[in-house]
Amino acid sequence: MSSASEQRAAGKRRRPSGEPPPLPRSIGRSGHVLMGLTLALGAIVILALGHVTVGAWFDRQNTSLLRAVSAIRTGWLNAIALRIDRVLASRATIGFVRLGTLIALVVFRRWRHLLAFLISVVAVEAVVYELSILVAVARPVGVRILGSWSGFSFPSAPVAALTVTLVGAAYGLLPSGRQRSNGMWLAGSIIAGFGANRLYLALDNPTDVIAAVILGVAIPVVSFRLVAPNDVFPVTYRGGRTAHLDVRGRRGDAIRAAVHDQLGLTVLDLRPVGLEGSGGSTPLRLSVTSGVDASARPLFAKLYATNHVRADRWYKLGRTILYGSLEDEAPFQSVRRFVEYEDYTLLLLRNQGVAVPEPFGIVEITPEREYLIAMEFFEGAREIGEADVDDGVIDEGLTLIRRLWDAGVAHRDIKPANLMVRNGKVLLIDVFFVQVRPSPWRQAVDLANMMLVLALRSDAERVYRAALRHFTEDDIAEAFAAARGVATPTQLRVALKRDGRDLAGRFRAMAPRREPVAIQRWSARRVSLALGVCAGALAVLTLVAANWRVLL
Amino acid sequence: MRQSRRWAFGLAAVVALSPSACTASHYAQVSCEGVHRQSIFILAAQAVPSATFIPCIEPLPAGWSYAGSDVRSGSVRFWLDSDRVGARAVEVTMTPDCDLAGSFEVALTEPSDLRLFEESDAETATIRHYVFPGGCVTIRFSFTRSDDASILAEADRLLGFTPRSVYTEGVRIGEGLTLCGAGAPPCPG
Repeated sequence: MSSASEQRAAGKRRRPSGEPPPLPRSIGRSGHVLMGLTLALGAIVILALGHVTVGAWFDRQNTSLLRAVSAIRTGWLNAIALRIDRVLASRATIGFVRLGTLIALVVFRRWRHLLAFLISVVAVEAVVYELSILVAVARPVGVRILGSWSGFSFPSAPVAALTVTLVGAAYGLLPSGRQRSNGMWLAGSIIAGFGANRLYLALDNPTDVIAAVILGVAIPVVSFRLVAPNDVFPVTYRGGRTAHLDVRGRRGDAIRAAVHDQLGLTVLDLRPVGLEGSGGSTPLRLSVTSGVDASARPLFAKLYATNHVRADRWYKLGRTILYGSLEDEAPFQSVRRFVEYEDYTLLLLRNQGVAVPEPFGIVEITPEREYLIAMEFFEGAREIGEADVDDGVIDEGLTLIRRLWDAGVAHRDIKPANLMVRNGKVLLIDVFFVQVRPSPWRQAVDLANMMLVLALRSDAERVYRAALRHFTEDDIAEAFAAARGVATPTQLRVALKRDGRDLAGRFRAMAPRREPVAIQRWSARRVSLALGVCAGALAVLTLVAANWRVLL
Repeated sequence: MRQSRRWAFGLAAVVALSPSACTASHYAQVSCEGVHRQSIFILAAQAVPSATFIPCIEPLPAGWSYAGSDVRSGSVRFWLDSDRVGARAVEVTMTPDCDLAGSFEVALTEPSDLRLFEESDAETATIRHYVFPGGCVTIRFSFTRSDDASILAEADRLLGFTPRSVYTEGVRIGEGLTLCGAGAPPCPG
């Protein structure tokens, strides 16, 4: 155990009580501002409702401003203003933009943004309607109204509808940064112009337009920040997975500070690595120096956040519905449990003599929301799918599985991306899915997948002969009776398809005949879960159908 | 856990808000009692600025209920349900004018600025028009006298009228502003 002075010498620092964590949770400055504005709006409504005199004061101020605006009315300007209002206030225009946004979000499979957009639109429409009934403000008085209107005036329903639509479209479709900023300026200009036009025609009071803009901006901003936060689900058209966290900017700085304080390591460089092979975390390559060793060395790290916990939960729910409880399908309850479990599996496998990365520790980025686990980076190692696979490597791979079997654990994700080769030695990475005392089916699947991975870079006969040195014929027969459908990771399936040889068929032909192992497990829980999910999906579809006219 | 609560909250919010979103044309009751305090009548007066009378609903007898209304520039509409003759048993629409072709005038028992017309060729419904300077109120009963004369007589008493001047004065006294339209000084713009 190291002493306090050793800790300090290593550069470690304990965060004292009251000090914010490396990356405090925040909805951002604009989010706070808009929340404040929403609260202000609520206060205005309460005041207007509770004190008739305040309401009358608003009316007088509104009228005096509208009268001033109406002084510039001329025939040709009136005609233009009426035409603009007819276009922008029309449900057809709003519906067209909304439908376009919905279609684009579906085409780009941006489901979270789609949900955020739907919630925003329904919430704004509903809040505007309820508020209009509650406050019941008539149309502007004391000035002639030009054009068509419907219902109470506060907040302006057409302005709110256009605002939420444009802001939602900008948030859902435009990448953060300059493009979204430009889009927001354009949306802001259209909304401002439309609002001014409504005032010119005296269709709305100034307070109606202001309230509508506040609602139309605040609700989608809050909705998108909660349902599809940009740093977790950025809008991008470059392809790739979107569940990876953006490690630039504030988060990058926070990781550097946290690794320094908690592990005593100075991060010189930090970059994502192998994103295409990882969906359950954000893998990173760190270049670090320590207090005792000034030379830079690489570290591998995995950044976990709440979205990964959610993804794990949905993945397990999906598996339970599709296959039943094949194995332990209990979801993790927090990000902290994620990293704790991975740390544990790394230590467990190392104790069993399996070549896995050495864990360097867990780093807290945002308490209960984001953690990073740092481990050894296998420098100079190549993914097995790109390495030379000779008899030595084949034997190494099969020995690894034998060791897992003997230790009573299963890796559960044997695929080329998780097997590295360095100096003829097979190294195993990504041990998050490891299970202790797995089902015999799962252990058999590990063997089959390893044999398939090895055969991809050699041939089935060689791998089969080598396997017989570690396993019986019945073991191999069981492995290929078990390895069907869901049992083979997607990356391995794709590689097998690209290879073209029926490797699994050849292994089955060499092994004793065995009936496929059934992977469907039926239980009352599975049936009730499936029914519950179907009922939920039906309810959501019914809601969308019922609100179709409001949405479009 | 916090995440799942958030999802549940979001879904619950959508569910809770949806019914109102589906019935976006329902406003407060247009009751003739305490009319000067109801914003919906000012809104109705703005919808048909030429109308010198604004329709309202007299206190409803048992079996009748207010079902909704829709006020927009150019027209005011509200409707009542009955437990005996069904939904939208009475539908009232006010517009600046109406087509009286095929209608005959019915003498009113009390002298007023209103004139009553009834369409003669309506077979499945009873349609009446109250005509007054600057406006026309059409009442469509979803039943005929031959269906149930007593219900028609009851429904006949449900509609009331308030002179527009009541609201014009209310706005003038309450807010010091002009409710533009009939009987008010010309509004700017």
